[in-house]
Formats: sequence, structure tokens, C-alpha cells
Amino acid sequence: MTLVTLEKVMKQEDNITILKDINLTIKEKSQIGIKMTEKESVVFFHLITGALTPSSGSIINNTTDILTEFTDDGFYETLTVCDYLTFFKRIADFKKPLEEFAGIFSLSDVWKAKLKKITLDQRKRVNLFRMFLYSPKLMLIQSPLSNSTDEGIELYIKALEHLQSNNTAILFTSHYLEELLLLSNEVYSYNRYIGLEKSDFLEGPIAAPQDNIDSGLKPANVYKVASKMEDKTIFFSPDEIDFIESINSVSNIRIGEEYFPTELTMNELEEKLTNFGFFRCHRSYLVNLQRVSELVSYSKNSFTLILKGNAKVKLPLSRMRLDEMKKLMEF
Amino acid sequence: MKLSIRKINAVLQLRLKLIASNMSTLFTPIFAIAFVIVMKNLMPDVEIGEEGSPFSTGGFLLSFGLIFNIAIGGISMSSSPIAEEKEKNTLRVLMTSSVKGGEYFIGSMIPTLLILITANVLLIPASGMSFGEIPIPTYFIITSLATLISILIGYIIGIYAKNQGQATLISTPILIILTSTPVLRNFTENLGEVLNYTFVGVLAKLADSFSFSGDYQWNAIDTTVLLGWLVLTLGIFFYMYRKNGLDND
Repeated sequence: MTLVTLEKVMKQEDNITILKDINLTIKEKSQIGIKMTEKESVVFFHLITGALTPSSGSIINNTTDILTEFTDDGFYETLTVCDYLTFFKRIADFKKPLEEFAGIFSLSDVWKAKLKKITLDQRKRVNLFRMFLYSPKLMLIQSPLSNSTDEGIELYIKALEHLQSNNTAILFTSHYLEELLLLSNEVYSYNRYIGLEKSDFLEGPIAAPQDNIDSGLKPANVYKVASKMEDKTIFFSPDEIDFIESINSVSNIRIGEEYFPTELTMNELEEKLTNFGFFRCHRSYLVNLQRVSELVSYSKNSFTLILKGNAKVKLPLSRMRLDEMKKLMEF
Repeated sequence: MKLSIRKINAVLQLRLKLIASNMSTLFTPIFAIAFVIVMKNLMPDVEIGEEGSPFSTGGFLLSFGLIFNIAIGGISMSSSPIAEEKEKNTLRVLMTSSVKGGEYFIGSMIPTLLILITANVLLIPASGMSFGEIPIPTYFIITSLATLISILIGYIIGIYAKNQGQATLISTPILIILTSTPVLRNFTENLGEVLNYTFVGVLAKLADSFSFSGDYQWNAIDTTVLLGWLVLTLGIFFYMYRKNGLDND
């Protein structure tokens, strides 16, 4: 069943276009991730809930059973987790005892703790629990894993799995693609010039370059990756690069917090950089293995690479590529 | 707009829990009672005409406590929570969690109203007056109506203000005018005439009767003034609510 359909939706505020060319169908049980800014995300959520009307285009809502969570949603800090959720239990007319679900949302330890005393990770799970009480058809959540710890991510994903079993569709928005890849089955990127674009992140065979694992690694003499920036071309040594990410079919070199676009395709880059210790961990990511510090598994089917010195960056590792990486890194 | 008793009750219980976990919200009614008790022990206990006194101590303290509790307590206890909830984005969570504005207002108003009405009653023994000296039904109706009007003014400020700072800024001149009314009434006859048509003016007349004459005559003008203010504040409240919504971020 289709819950919400957006067709050619455009929204302007104060003569500034916030969103345009939004075409999206949200079906029951779907888990969708959209890469967009916070401002775009707020407007997008308000459009879906009907709090805002689009400047043009149409939104067909087959459900009003929609809940939203924004990053800056507040709490009654002086209440305990139990009191806070009990209040929403009354509002939602939820019949079962809350304690039955405290374990699912990993909140048993802080059940009687005041909200001001709990961690950010726990707050996010309290919000998830609050929304679960309503059994909504659709949940709209803004950046749920931002600033979360590894344990926090793991427990959040565990709680999400419970929501999925309740047939709730969830739409996430975030600045970070890595976050969306952990949470969603369908990932889109919003680009203000071309609108909403579906990213080709589906697990699938990657067009492999020459077989490089058994052939023995031959160090290249010199190779630098070029990035054209307006009137200049910048050359990067492979050892400077943290990873390369494909965004809207454009390969972007990531160095620290900065992105540099390159004209080479991911496959071409993989072919060139494999000899420099780069590994195609995911269809859209080529990671410098020298930069990898941790391999984390948040659930049976999701693996994540964490980079040295930047724990916020979490790159997805395809399940099918895990064995290959094990061979390469001998672990 | 169909309101749910269950949700009103939930908001009421939430408000009680929040008051219990942050007693500073009860500062005004507690301070009004405490101040009256302290002053009762400091001032000489005289009746009208006794030792040349122009007023009775008990009546004077009761009128002071009433104005303080109703004007300051009513406005601050209703405007501050709304402004705080807006500022901290807790109101947005409520509004997106199927709580309607009406349910929020009624659920939040009941505890505030009950606390202030209780304080109005407790001020009688605190000021040293006996319940026999006061026309209780009249006292109860006038003070309760004035409290309700005051709470509505606080809600209007709360709807308009975006944060607590702004709410305090708007409240301050209103509070100064309201609390000064009993004194300003005695400045000039003309100003007094005008102020008699305010809800605090009616309250001041009631208080004067305890301080000076000892007897309040319930009359149609005061009734009309109180009901007029109630209708006016309700009208402005609904207009502001429709125009701004509860959380106009």
C-alpha cells in the first residue's frame, strides 16, 4: 500500500526555493533515506505531514498517521524516562505495560533516571520508544545517528528492527550518506539543481577491475588523482586520501572534512588505486585501507568501517566484500 | 474541535508532575502567603478607626496578597510554561504527538487555577481575618474569575512570545500596571473611575471593603466588568491562537 506520493513537489519560502522536483513514493514498511540539509529536511517533513502546502506539485497522503522527530526536539528534563513515556502512553492510549518494551529499546538501565541525566544515545531511543507507542504508519526522523557512539548505533538499529516488525515505514534524512546507508533500504540524494535522485546503493556485483587479489600487488611508479576546481587542477597523492565517495554519480575525493570532485569514475579510480592500498568496500565507496582503524558490525547484515582519527566517518562495507577484505588484510 | 478528556487528563497530570519536580513555579503563591504572614507579625494588628488607623491590618494584607497572587501569579504561571516549552521545543513534540491546542490549554490551566484559588482562600487566615468576616461566596466568585482572567492574559502573552525572555519582557509592564491599580485608583478621581472598569479594579474594590468599610456590595457594574473582561480576554486569546497557533516556529 502506498502511504504518501509526492509528484513534482516544489516549495519556496520568502522567494527562495527550498525544495524542487521532488518525486517520491513512500510505501508501507519501506525504509527510505534522503541526503539533504537540515533546513530542507524540516520543510520536507512539514510538507509530508501537511503542516505546509507545496508551492507547486502534488502530495497525496493516504494516511494521517505520521509522526516526526526533529534533531532539536526537546524533553521535559526534570521527568524520569518512565514518567515521560507514561505521559505519552496515556496520550497514545497504548494498552500494554511499558516495562515490557524497555528492553527492546535498551532503556531498562535508565528507566527511573531523569531525562537530563541520560546520554544522547539513550535520548534518541526514548524518542523512538515515544513514537512506537502510537504505532504510526509512517515515521519521519531527522539525523538519528548524528553524534552517536558505536554502541548507540548498534542499539538504535536493534530498536528499529522491532519497529520494522510493526510494519512502520520510516523515512530518514541526514547530511551523511553513511548514516543513511546503515538505516535505509532505499537511499536518495537531494540536489537543488536536479531534485531528488535515487542513489545506486543497492547491493549488487561491482564491475570488478582486473583481478588484483591473486595477481600480486605491483606498486605503481607515480600516480596522482586530479580534481578540477574552477580555474585550477589539484593533484592528490593516494596516501593523502581518506576515501572516495560517489555522490550523484560524481566521484568525490574525501580528505579530512573536505570533498574534491574528480572526473574519473569509481571503477577507473579503483583500477588505479588498488595498487596503493585502496579497497572498494561498497558500490559507492573506495577506502584507503591505511586509514581504516575499526571494522564494526551493528547487526548480522551490516558492517561498517571506521576511519582513524575520525570516528564520525562510518563507511558501509558490503557483506559480499567482507571476505575479500579479510583476505587482503589477513584477519 | 473535538477535545479528548483522556488527553486533557494526561496533560493535567504532566503539568502536576512538572510542578512537583520544579517547585520554583509555585514561588508567587507561596511568596504571597509567606509575605502576608510575615507582615501580619510585623505590623500592629488594628481595626478601622482603632488608634486612628484608616484601615484594618488584616484587610490591608489580604488585599495585598490577593493582588500579588492573582495578577503576578496568574500571568507568570501561565505565560512562563508556554514560553519555556516553545523555547525548548517540547511543545512541538506535544503538537506532533496528537495533542490539540485546546487539550493543552485546559489540561495546563486546571492545576494553575486550582493552586491560585487555593492560595486565594489560604490568604484569608494568613492575613489574620476570620472566614466569618468575609462574604465567602462573593469572595470566591470574584477572586476565581479574576484569577481566570489573569491566566488568560498569561496565555495570550505565552502565545505571542517566542521564548521566556520575551514573555518576561511583555509581562513586566502589564504586571506593573495591574499591581499598581489599587494605589493608582487613589491618585485622582478620574483615573480611579477608569481603573474601576478593570478586573483588578473590581478586585481592589473588594479588597478595599475588607480594609476600610468591612462590607462589599455585589453590584451589576462589577459583574459586568468581570464578565466583560472574561469575554474580552477569551476573544483576544482565541484570535491570537487562530492567528499564531500554539507553536508558531
